[in-house]
Amino acid sequence: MTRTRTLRRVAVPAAVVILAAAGCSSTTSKSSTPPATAPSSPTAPSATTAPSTPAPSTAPTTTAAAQIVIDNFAFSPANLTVRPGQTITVVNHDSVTHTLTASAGAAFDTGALNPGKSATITAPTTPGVYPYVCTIHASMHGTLTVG
Amino acid sequence: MTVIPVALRAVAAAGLVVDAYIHLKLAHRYDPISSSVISQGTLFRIEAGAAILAAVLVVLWRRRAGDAFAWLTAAAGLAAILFYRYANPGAIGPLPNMYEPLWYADKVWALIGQGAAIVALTPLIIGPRRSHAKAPAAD
Repeated sequence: MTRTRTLRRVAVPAAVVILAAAGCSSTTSKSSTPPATAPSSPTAPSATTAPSTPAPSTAPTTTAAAQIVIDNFAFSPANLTVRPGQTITVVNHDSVTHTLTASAGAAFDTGALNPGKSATITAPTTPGVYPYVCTIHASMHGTLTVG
Repeated sequence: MTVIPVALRAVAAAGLVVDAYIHLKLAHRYDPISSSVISQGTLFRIEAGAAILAAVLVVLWRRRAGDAFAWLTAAAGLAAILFYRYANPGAIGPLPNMYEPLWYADKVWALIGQGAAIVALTPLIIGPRRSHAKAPAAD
């Protein structure tokens, strides 16, 4: 009797501790895994959060500031690659007016950009290569690659 | 007997026409370069108008005053091209900053036209006039 009581006194708390420990370890592993396992979990919320997991990796390149500087009658960089729809800042460091205008169509155009001024243009949403020029100084040219 | 003067006038007029054509062709491109008073495009149109008038005077009027006007028109255009090609003075008075350290075909053609006009007009201006040449012969 006393033996069985002693066994119960030891075994029950031990089982509780073991189960509790197992439970804690399992909950910690779950809490750490949700980001990884969320996409595979069958519940709807995790499915909706699944796409948000890769988003952070693409966000920096999408929102990265793109800039073209006009200096000494040249565009710098002359060839720039951006994301579709990305905003590009064009800064005129020259002492005369310039433009940055898509060669074909009306994909983008800063209009007359006076000395020291800046303007923003939006990259086309269709991937491709878009040559551009200064409409005043036709020898100034560059290429915007959208991809 | 007057082959040389006629040839000189033909060369001068041709040069002035080229000058006028190039400036009219480019004027709209340079409209955005502007001071509060006048744009570079407008100055191009003034140069073109003066060059057309000068060509008419050189061919039809054939007077020293007309030739001098044509010479000044061509010389002013040539000086402006060379000055703003190599100097960046900023805005000068009512003039916008027309600095452009570039050469391209149209600019070179305008320069050639102006240069030809200057070269052809100079002997017509500094040389003896026909009327003056005839007067001593008549005496």
